[in-house]
Amino acid sequence: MFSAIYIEEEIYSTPRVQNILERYPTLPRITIERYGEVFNRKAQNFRLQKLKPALILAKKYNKFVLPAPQEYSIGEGDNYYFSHMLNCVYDCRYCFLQGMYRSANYVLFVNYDDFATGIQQTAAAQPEKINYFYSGYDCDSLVFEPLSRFASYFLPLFKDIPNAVLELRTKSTQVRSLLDMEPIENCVVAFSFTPAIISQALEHKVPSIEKRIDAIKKLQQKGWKVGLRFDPLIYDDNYIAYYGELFESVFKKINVDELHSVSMGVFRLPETYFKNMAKLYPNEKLFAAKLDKQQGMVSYQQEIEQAMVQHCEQALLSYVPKHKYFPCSLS
Amino acid sequence: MINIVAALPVEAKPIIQHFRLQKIQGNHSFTIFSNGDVELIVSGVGAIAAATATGYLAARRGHQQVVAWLNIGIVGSLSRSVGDAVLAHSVTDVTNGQRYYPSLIFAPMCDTASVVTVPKPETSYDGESVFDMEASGFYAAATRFNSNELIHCLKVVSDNQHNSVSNISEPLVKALITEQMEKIDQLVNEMRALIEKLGENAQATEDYRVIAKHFHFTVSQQLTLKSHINHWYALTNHVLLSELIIENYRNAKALLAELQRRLNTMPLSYIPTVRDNS
Repeated sequence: MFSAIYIEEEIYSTPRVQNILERYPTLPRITIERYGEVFNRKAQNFRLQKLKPALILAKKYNKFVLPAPQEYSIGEGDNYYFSHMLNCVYDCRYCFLQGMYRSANYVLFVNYDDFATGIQQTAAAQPEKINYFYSGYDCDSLVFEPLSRFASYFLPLFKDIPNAVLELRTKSTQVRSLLDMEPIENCVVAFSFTPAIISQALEHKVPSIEKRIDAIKKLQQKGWKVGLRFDPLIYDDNYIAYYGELFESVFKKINVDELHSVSMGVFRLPETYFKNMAKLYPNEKLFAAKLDKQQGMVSYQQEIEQAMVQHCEQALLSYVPKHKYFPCSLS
Repeated sequence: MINIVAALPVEAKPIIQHFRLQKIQGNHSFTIFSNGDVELIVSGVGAIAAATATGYLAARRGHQQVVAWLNIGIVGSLSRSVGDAVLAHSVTDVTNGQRYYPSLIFAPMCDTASVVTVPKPETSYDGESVFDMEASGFYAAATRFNSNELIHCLKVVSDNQHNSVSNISEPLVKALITEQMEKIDQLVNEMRALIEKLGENAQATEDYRVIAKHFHFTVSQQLTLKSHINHWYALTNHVLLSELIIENYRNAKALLAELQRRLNTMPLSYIPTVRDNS
């Protein structure tokens, strides 16, 4: 699975690291001082590394919990995100990670206790408010669960913080650990979707829509709160038909009444990230046309974006009540 | 294009024979062999020599191309057997502590090891690392020209705690490298496969060549032109120059504006085409 495992010397003997190393006895193990000496070095090609990334086991020292934009909210309250892992096993061509990071290697910060302290302190600082914590910003929240045991650790933590809500954002079907435990009230498992034809073109290694719907059904039957994220909206000349088919296939099969939230977002990237991505993939359709640059951001041309949002929102609201819909748009 | 840096003629010889490299004639500061695809330079001993040779080879081809770099040679080791091949998973310069990490995004064809570059032959051999005198110089230079997924060091153990460095002879070195030629060949093929993944569209390259000759393009406009041409072929199978009459445009700016306009009006569909599936 990984090309090699790099391990920061300081955490080499910790139980979490040892458990992971036991799973991969034949991989090259390289001891390092700090993950940045591998992850942040120059002269790396994200596209080539994505063919077979290495795993870097590291310790995070600060910025365990960071504020997230209010526009991404799925309820009344303050928004935060925390990244126990950097980079994702999936290879979605629109993903900002390939523009932001030099390396496609996975970094797993194994000091979960420090993240836990940060989360507890953040929630305790505003006990009267609901605080939303998003975990899928720099990675997929669940795909590495058998290795990282992320959900297994953090769900019991959040169970004991009633004014905190955890969003697990994922495209994976790795829900076994959730099915093996009792659901908690303050967790939303949020699945991202794009129409099938676009997904096949742009979302490499992602499970099929059908398999993800299946995972949703199992979670709902168990009692987990589920969210749907149609983000980012991707333009295709036939987007109206494709998004129509997607909404129908998803909403026909899941329990809409039990849905926690649905959100929709537009395709938008900082210009520097876009330049990096376009350089990595010069022949990519997604970067080829219909785009505009404004105030340091790249997005679809305004008339295209507005038309897509208007149409998709209208279609979405024919399936879900307005109070469950959270548009995600940054001006 | 595969560039190989070897310190000694005796290390180079089996590689030259295997790839049928011919000596490049002319007034060169280093001895260089080539078959058009694989190029080998004999650097001389030491990190500085290796770095200089690497830079020299890079300048020969111009560093716009995607090129893989290999450093092949002998190393000392505490406990590994003479003849063992190792691929570097890290390269450390003992004089300044600088460390490099080759990305092993292919299945290694041999064991991997930490390569430590020392200024003179190491006989005390410490731990699991292997010791050479060129890798760090080679690596530091090569990373200026290409990314580290395409830069590797494959070394063959020539001396250890039981076989002194003073016993190293030219016939021994030649035999050791020859014995590992299959692994070196495998490594070269892995590099070729990676380079192919980054390969350019030949038609796009030709279109660029023709158009760029026609007008004066600033550096920024050249990049935009390349980008537009690549985007053209992302969206359509139609050959650009059969649809764009260059002579109709007054200058580079006008041509680029027209290209942008056409790109924005072209159909955009993610339904896979034959080209997408190839």
